Parts: sequence; structure tokens; C-alpha cells
Amino acid sequence: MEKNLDRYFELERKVLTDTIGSIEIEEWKTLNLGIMNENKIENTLRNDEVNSTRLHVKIKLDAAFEKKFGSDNQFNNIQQNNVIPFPNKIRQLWAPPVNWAALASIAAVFIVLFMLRPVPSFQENAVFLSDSSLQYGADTTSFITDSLLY
Amino acid sequence: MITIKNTLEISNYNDEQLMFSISNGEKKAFDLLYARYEKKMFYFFFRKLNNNQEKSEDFLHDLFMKIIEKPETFDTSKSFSPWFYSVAHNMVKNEYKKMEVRKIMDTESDTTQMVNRALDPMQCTEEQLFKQRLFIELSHLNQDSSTAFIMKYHEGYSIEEIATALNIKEGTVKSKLFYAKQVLSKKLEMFHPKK
Repeated sequence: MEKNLDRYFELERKVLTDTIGSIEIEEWKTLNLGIMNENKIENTLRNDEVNSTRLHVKIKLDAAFEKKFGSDNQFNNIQQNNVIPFPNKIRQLWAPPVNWAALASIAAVFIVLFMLRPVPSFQENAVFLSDSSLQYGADTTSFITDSLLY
Repeated sequence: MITIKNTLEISNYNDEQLMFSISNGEKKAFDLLYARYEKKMFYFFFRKLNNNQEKSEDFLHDLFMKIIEKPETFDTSKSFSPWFYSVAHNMVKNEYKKMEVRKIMDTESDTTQMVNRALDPMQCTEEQLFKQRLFIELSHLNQDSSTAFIMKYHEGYSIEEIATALNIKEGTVKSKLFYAKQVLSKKLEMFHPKK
């Protein structure tokens, strides 16, 4: 029975897409014994429509949405009611969607900037030392590490 | 200009992406999802609830309210349509349970009255009569079968999607559809006598 059903719905799809072969049509007719001809039931359902306007449903839903998430037109509300509502954008800041890739990129940029930060160069130190030597008459003879041993 | 760009971008979103945006409070995403599903979900409720327009509108409202109130109940890694139909189907099932408990509404008598009013050959064509009778007989099928039938032949969903929506096996969907076809054909035989 299950195999027949698989075949039935496979042939049904072929009928719908108009790809059924002439031999398969006979098989389709056999499998369709006891079923109303010409897909009358299915076609009635396919072409069925219900026409009505449901604008009031949407208006109610819009109000509910604004109640939960806030309104985009809150500046208008301020002018009309003279009340400052809690803006949606700020509310979202409390729980921002975290983009870990962006955070990692920003962190990487900070690390690189930290590593490339300006540090006092050797030449600047030399000038400083030479200046201080002028003022205090310090010995500017450079150290030789070996001399420390004596 | 930015608004137009955003609207264009969002119109390319699939249903699952729209649901993600809705959970972040994007009104445009909600509007778009509503536009995509409003008509078909209203149709679903209308036919499942014996063509009761007022009740169908209430159900449509409640269905979308679930999206507004708890969008996180939808798993965005899954397909939206079957999930949405499954929620709608469960709403109808619960309603039928309530009606059975309360004994408020006798579906049989209501539908019979409805057809008796309409069965005036001077006012209706054979096609209209056939359609009316079809939906009355469809409402007499069990809930899973009639939902499967509407999803398959009105909305064109695949067997796989219907199985996901109803949380049953694909083989069961096929047998339910086939059985429904047989029953409906027999009940509507008077409109299409065998040659």
C-alpha cells in the first residue's frame, strides 16, 4: 500500500507538471479508481479564494508591536503629548546583538595600535643625557660591560 | 534614501531572516511577514472554522500576536512555514477541544443549516453548490487530514513540509491525503456521477 501511495503522489506531481508519459497515464487512471475524475476536488481547492478586508486586524497588531518594541515616530509623540518616551534605539543598546567578528576586528586594531605606539627613541635619550651632562658635568663616558668586572 | 535601501534589502529576506529581524524589533520585517502570510493563514482559519469570518480574524490576530510576544519560540535554523502552520493547526485543534467540552457549537447542525440555506438552485450554480458541499465534507474529516488537504491542494506545500507541520511521518501524510480524497469523492459523487 505504501509503495502504491509513493507511486500515486509521484504520478500526481507528474500530472501537475505535465510531465506524465502515455504509459504512466494508464497507471494513473488505475491508481485513481474511486477518486473523482479530472482532479475536480483538488482544482476547486486550488482556485478557491476568500475575499475580505482585515485592516482592523493589522491596526491592532501594529499597536501591539509598538507597545512592545517602541515606535519609530517617537519625536511626533513628544510634540503631541509633551512626554518623552523611552526611545527604542536606546532600549536596544541595553541588549545589542553581539557581532563577535566585529568585536575581534576592533580588538585586533587596538592591539596593533598599542604595539606601534610612539616610544622615546635612542637619539632622544642621547640628547637628554648630553643636556644633563652639560648642566651637571656628569661623566658621559659610555659603559663597557667588561669594565664592571673590575 | 537609507529607508528605501533598507526596505529593498529586507524585501529580499527569507521568512527565517525576517523572524530574526522581528525579534530585534524591526517593524518592516513584521510588515513584510504579515503581507506574505496574512491571506493564506486567514484562508486556513476560515475553512477550518466553518467559514466563520469573525472567529478567523480573531485567530489570525492571535497567531501573529504569538510572533510579536515571543518571536524567540521559533528556531531560526528551521523552516518557518511548517512551524507557522503547526502553531495555527494547534490553535484550531484546541478550539475544537474547547467546543467539545462546552458543547456550545454543534458543527453538524450549523453546517447543515448553512447548506440548507444555500441549496437553492435558483441562486447557486452547480459549481458553487459543489464547492459548498466540498468544504462541509472537508470539515467532517479529522483535523490532521483536513489541514494536510488544505496545505497540499490550496497552498501547494510538499508532503515533507506537511509532515513537519503536523509532526507525523511522510507516509502517514500520504495515506491521510489519499483517504481524504477517497472519502470526499464518495461524498460528492452526486455532483459527478460515474459514467
